[in-house]
This record gives sequence, C-alpha cells and structure tokens, in this order.
Amino acid sequence: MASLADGMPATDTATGDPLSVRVRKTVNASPERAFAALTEPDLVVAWWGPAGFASDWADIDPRPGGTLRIHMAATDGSYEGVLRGTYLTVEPPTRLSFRIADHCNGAPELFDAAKMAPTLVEIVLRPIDGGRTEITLTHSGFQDAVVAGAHEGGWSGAFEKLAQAVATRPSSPSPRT
Amino acid sequence: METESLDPLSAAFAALADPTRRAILERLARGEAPVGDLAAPFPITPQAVSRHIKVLEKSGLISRRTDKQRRIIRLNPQALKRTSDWVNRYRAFWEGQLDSLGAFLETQNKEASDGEPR
Repeated sequence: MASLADGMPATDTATGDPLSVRVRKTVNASPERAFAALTEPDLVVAWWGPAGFASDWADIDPRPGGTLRIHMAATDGSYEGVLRGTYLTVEPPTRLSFRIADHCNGAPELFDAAKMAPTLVEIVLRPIDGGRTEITLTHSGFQDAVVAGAHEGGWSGAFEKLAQAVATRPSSPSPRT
Repeated sequence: METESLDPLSAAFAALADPTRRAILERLARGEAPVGDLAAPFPITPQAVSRHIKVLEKSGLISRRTDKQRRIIRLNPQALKRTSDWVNRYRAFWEGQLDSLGAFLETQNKEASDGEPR
C-alpha cells in the first residue's frame, strides 16, 4: 500500500491496522537466547525498559493464556508503572504474542483497565546469518483502544504518561550492569 | 461509528479505521480534488462516498471549499500528523526496548567470552 505524505501512519498489511507500530532489530544472539531474554523473568528484569528506565520485577507465565506483569520505572522517578497482559502465542524460539490490558498503574486516576480495549504485541524472531536474530515487533490495536477509551472517558491518559516519559529520554540505550 | 462525541484525536482514529476513507486520504495526499473525482475510483454509490467525506470532515482530517459551485476537498496535514505523532511515541518506546534487549544480549556475549578464554 502506498504511504501517505506528511506523516500518515503506514498501514500494516498483515493486520489491516492503519495505526500499528512495527519495529525491527537484529541482535547478536541466537533466537533461543533472544526468546529466553523475552520470557524469563530474571533476564527480562535485566534489560526491560528503554534508556532511562529500569525494571524491579517481572511476573511472567509464558504460555497461551498465561499472564505477564512487568514493572518499569524511570530512573529519575518521573514514571512508574506495570505492564499487564495475557499471552496468546508462545512458540519458542520464533513467535511470541500478548495482549496488553493495562499499562500504567502509576497513574490510577487516569486509568481504568476495565474500560480499556487491549492492544496487541506480536514478536517474531528469525534466525539470520552469523548466529544472529532479526526481531520484528508489531504493536497494534490502537485504533480500537483509543476510540473505545474515548467513549468511556479518556483512555489516552494511561499510555500518554508513559509515552511522554519515553519521549523525554535520550534515544540511545544506557549501559546496563 | 458515531464520531461526533469523540475528542479530535479519537475522531481521527475512528475515521482512519475505514479502508475507503484511508484510500480517499491517500488520494488527497497527492493534492486537493473535487468530490466527484474522489468518488470515481470506488465501486460504491456517490451517496456512500459523500458519507465517508462527511466523517472525514467531522474528524478534522479534511476540509472543503467551494470553487465555482464545485466542492473541493483537501487534506489537513496537521490533523493527520497528530495521529501519527501519537503512534510514533509507541514506536520510540519499542525501539528503545529492542535497543535495550540488544545491548543486554551483547553484555551476555561478553560475559560468556570472558568466562571462556579462547
């Protein structure tokens, strides 16, 4: 599909979702190791969060229908929240998907999970040459989520705080220990 | 979808949900056009196209002017940009996440090679 000028979000041809986000990165590890880093709590906690954020704990049950709860906070204290969701697909080491039902316990006054249409995160790991893995992550369902939330009195406040916190961080990853 | 009660961002998202409306927007991205030209490519009635245009207009994504009794439709790029800006913040979040994951895996690689001199 042709993309629109002036910042029209690209339509995800797979999902038909005009407002999905797809990011792709090659990592220097096998799919097995990358998959483990995405699903084993001790490993998730070690890296979770963009630059300027860190995770204190993760409670993960990686099987279809299993739940995930991952803590994340800005290291300067400006944000703290818990991502909550449910796994749909768990196919080591190539495919992982979950619905995010809740993203911001840190701002409960802005947020009611019961009123929030979940968004969907799908992660595909593809082995490539040199023992590396191409990770493709698609986050979709914003359209339903935002519109449903608007009818119920403001969904956007929930992700909004997280998104703003992320937007104010430097874009390069900080070294982790 | 009833869009009148929505805030501007949600109205834009609701309007974008429909493939015909997205196709109309893509056409308008190439330049303004009379209503008749917009309707031509679609195998639906002019009335249906007119309804789509009304939804887009209410959402703020397009506006119209009258030129010699012809209705000319144009895209409002700022309104479209609001929706893409919103989505792009999630892009920034996930890009940051994959960067952190990649850096962590490199750290693991280094620890493994430090542990096994060879």
